[in-house]
Amino acid sequence: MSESSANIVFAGNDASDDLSILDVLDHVLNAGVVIRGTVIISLAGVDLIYLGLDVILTSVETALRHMKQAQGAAVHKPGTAV
Amino acid sequence: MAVLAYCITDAEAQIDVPKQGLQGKKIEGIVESGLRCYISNYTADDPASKQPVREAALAFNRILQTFLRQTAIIPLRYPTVLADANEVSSFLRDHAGEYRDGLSRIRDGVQMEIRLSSPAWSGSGVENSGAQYLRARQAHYRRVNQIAEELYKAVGLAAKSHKIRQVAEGARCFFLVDRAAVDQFVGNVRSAKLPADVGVRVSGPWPATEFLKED
Repeated sequence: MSESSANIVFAGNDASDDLSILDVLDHVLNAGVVIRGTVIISLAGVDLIYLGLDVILTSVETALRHMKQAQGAAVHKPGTAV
Repeated sequence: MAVLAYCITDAEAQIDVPKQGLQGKKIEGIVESGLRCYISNYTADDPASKQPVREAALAFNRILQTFLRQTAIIPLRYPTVLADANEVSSFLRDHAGEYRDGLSRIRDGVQMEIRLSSPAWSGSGVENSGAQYLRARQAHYRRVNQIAEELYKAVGLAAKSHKIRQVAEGARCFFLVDRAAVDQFVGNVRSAKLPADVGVRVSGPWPATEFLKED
């Protein structure tokens, strides 16, 4: 088994690239206390909160998988719309 | 007036509170039962609320990070909007014991995360039977755990505690690290000898949400 530390990436917590943004969103939206039953969604503006969360509420694993698939398609199938 | 809640801290923690919250509103602390919850007024029809959710969530994270640099926090998920400050007080009162215990458990600690991944772990898709699939998953989990063990050794005393959560492409390893030991933690991970085909992504510091409760 070959060993190396070359694959270690230090991402921090400051959303400096796309993957870091996913890390941050994962923590802000998926981790922490949930106050059930008292969140007043109607005050938050339906077009803002609901629409936005529909777009971004996915796990990091899923998002990373889609990104890698998209990158793979771009590499192996030139000209493929991604 | 509706309020947006950011995080909960020990009421006694000395904090340099960020000047502005989301929508440019002032951040204030609500004290109840030995806890302090930071909030700002929230107006649904404020033009600033038309900020895309992604940008608002990133701004929310920057505010949380300002708190986290100073003390242990229990974050609230974005967006947690409550009817008014009284509702915040009531919530703190109802959960005071649980959150005080959580804060004392993570005191001075932050959470570092290491995500282990490898293309080989996504599944080859050639397993012909359920048994073969289960054997492949078993081998996968065994290897992930071996690598995680190597990481724990490399991290050593830089972390006070650790947890692992298996995910489709590998594992998420969480470490409770003293705020003062983050650099040591990063240095130890940097020197870890791990298989070359494994991706290792280190992120943090984050609020120590994985360590608020005892397993």
